[in-house]
Amino acid sequence: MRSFLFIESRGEHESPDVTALLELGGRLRGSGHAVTVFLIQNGVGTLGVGEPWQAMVEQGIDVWADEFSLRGRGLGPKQVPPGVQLGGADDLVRLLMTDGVVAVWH
Amino acid sequence: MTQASQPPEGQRSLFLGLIGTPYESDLLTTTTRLAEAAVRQGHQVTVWTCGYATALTASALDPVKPRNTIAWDTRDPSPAALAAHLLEWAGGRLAWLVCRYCAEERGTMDQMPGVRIRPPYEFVQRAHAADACLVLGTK
Repeated sequence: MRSFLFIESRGEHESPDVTALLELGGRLRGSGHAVTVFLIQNGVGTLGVGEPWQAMVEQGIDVWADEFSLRGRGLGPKQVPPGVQLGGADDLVRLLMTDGVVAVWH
Repeated sequence: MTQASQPPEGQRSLFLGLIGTPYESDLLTTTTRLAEAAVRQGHQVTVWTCGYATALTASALDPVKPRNTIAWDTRDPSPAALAAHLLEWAGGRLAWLVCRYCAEERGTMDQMPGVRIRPPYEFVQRAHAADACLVLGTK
């Protein structure tokens, strides 16, 4: 089993690759790998979509949302679906420095 | 901000590549947030800039941004001042490196003190040598 960290910085209207990246995360999780998705910058805007995130959480994917990015876009905890964790740069560094993790920025 | 405390034994290294157009998004903000958090956690950090990100630390930049006409009394630090502040605070646990090829191509070879210009092949060498690597942005 391998560990993947996907850092999504774009919104779903910004790039079609956002959906593709999240689908890849779902497939990797389905294959038994550990997957974490960290939403930052415009990536936090995708939380408004709601249902896909809950499905990912139920699938066993750790989903984080950057509080700083949320605040900068007038969003708050109310816009964060259940199961999605709020975090910041400290959390992202800890995830990045985890042994063996494969980090991908998009 | 006072100078960062000394790193604990067995510190690890983080390589952050800042690629592409820095003003297109929050890339610079995210990079500096990660660098600051990593230093605080006791890691050794390298920020490597490519493309127009090499202009962020050009010596021609003033320490403050031009005045904002709707907030005249507010003086925001320039990216160069931000980088200088981070370098001073980190006390040797942060290196800010600029890709020579990108700097030559964009006329940004004159860099502020503390920033080092390095040959492009070192990007891969340093990224491989680090315990963790993250390249932010696309080229």
